[in-house]
Amino acid sequence: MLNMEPEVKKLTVNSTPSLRRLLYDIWTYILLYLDAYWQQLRQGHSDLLFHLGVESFFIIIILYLWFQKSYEPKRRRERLTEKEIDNLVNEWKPEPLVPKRQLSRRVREYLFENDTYKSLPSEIEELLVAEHLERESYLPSPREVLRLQSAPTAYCVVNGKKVINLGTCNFLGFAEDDTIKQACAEVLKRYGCGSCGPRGFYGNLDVHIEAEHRIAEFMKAPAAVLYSFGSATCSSVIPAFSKRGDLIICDEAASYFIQTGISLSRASVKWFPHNDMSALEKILAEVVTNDPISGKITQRRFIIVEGISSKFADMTPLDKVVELKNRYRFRLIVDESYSLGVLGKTGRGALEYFGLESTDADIVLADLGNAIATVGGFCCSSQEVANHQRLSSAGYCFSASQPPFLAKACTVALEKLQNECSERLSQLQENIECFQAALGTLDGIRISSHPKSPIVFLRLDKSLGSYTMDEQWMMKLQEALWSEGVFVSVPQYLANEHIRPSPGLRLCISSNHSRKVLKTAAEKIRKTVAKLLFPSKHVSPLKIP
Amino acid sequence: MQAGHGSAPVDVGVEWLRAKGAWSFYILLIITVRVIIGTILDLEPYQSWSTINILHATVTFFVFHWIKGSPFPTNWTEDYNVDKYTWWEQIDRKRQNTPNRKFFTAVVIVLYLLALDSTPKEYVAVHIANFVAFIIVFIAKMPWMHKVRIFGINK
Repeated sequence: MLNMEPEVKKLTVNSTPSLRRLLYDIWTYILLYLDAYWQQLRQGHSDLLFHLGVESFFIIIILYLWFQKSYEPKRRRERLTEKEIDNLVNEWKPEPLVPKRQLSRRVREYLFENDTYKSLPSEIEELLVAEHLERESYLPSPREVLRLQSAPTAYCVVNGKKVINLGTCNFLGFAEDDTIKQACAEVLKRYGCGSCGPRGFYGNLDVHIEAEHRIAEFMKAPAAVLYSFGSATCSSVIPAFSKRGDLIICDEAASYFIQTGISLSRASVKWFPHNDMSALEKILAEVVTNDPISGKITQRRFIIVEGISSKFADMTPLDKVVELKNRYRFRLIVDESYSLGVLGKTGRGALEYFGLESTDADIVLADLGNAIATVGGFCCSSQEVANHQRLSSAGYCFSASQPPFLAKACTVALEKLQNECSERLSQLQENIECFQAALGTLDGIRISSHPKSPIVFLRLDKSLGSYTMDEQWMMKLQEALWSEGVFVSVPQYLANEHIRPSPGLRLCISSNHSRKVLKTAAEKIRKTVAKLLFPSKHVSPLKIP
Repeated sequence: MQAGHGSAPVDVGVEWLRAKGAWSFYILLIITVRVIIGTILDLEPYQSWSTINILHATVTFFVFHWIKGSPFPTNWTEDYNVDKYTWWEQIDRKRQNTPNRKFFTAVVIVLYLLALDSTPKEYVAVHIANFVAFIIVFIAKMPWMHKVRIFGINK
């Protein structure tokens, strides 16, 4: 250590002249080089002149580039095809020069109350009537609200009155099942009520994994993913797999949850008329003909249909859809919310009913809130598709997992369904047949349902004037039926649905109903509808003055 | 992917250009190839410089100016739709005359100059090959060539 110091000093002292020397040498070399260059130039070497010229030219280019300012290139418009131009022109509707609603609220109110509106043009009159009714419907009197006050069994208590329950989707009667209740109570004691975390963040319990295995086994699918809420299933699975630029072909009457999923995904969407297979094929063929000749498609393409339609209760011809999907190479998403536990030999849903496997559709979704009588939803698919959801499906990643006892309810219900499928399903199908036969046809009412569907919709043949008026009438019918002893539901549709069906009654049949009860209910419905629709024919003897 | 609402990243295909040392890496890569072909193949300086020039032009022509789209499409980025853009058109969020673009243009020029200076006058074929290789890649890098497909080539 001691010896080091003088050595270092020595080095630095010596190094200074050598560095100077080096610099001096370099400088000399440059001078010599330039001198030689200059000499050659004087002698008129054309080679060198040429090189010098080219070099300076390129150096000037580099310097020129160096001093350029960066800028944003101008955006050019993408060229549209003839067809797209035609579509745009056809779609364009000029806005009215005079805004539609020009009367102030107070004036309209005044006109309405003073019966002056009768002299107004029909267009404005209709508007005023609709709006007045709308305002009324916002403030329902508390008497009109029907509240369920017991378990949703065959009979239930609504507003203090025991009535026949046709309002809840408890198709297999699992809601009042004692085995399920007991299993839930045990899990509730062990784990408490909520799981308090998403599946990826400490909300993952053995009951969830058990339920997923049970679902996959029941559906005969490679994998299943459990969701906390039925409607969140569609609206998070669809955007997990389709992005901007992808293509979705969807049934017009798909549920609102599917529509939400589609709009969240930002994919482009084409709608085909409800259950119209020729229209679907036309759209698919059109898409395929516009493909590049190279056959290189960067787009993901999906067809989305429902097993049993949630709005019209009819069935999608899935055999045809699967055939089309395979022919045009699309992916298929099937929503089995209303067909799970109802259709097929073992209750696997509409796919089984048509003799197909769960794997024939790429993704099978279902709401566990209907036939399975718990809360939640699931998605059956291949292992890869399931794994993808665990990282990028919003409903799975970001919402707290299903409460453990509800997962247990799902497991037990599916076990029961597996063991007793033949009795329960045949009982349900008999009930459906019996009820639909008893209901028959009604004057002035359109009944939409498939013969095997557990839900039946009653809708007005001819609208009373506006949506609000129809809805009011349905509410009145619901109340009248309640006082007759039948509880039914009136589904509410949002104004921004893609296709908003007219308001109607939804009747749900369960395997727990006895035939006698169903026949009575059908008879009561027939009577009440006729009384409300054609009051002149059915004048109550008490009301005659 | 739905997670995250932070600032949008750029596409992974062009992301690496923003990294520190991207330029040095590029220059070092060229020097390495130059040294390797100069020593292993035992070429004359003019041969190796011309090889480097032409090789660089060919590779960059295909990678920068021919192949379109992104190797790993990242749809959540700001400029999500890059299917119709070549790599050169995608970099720096499609801005022109950015330092990155200037650098790549300068590299092309310098490589050509090296090849030109080292090649003796007599080898006309080599000069022509060098010039063609240079001019194609050079023109393709000009700002006014942005989204332009001459004669509809590679449309």
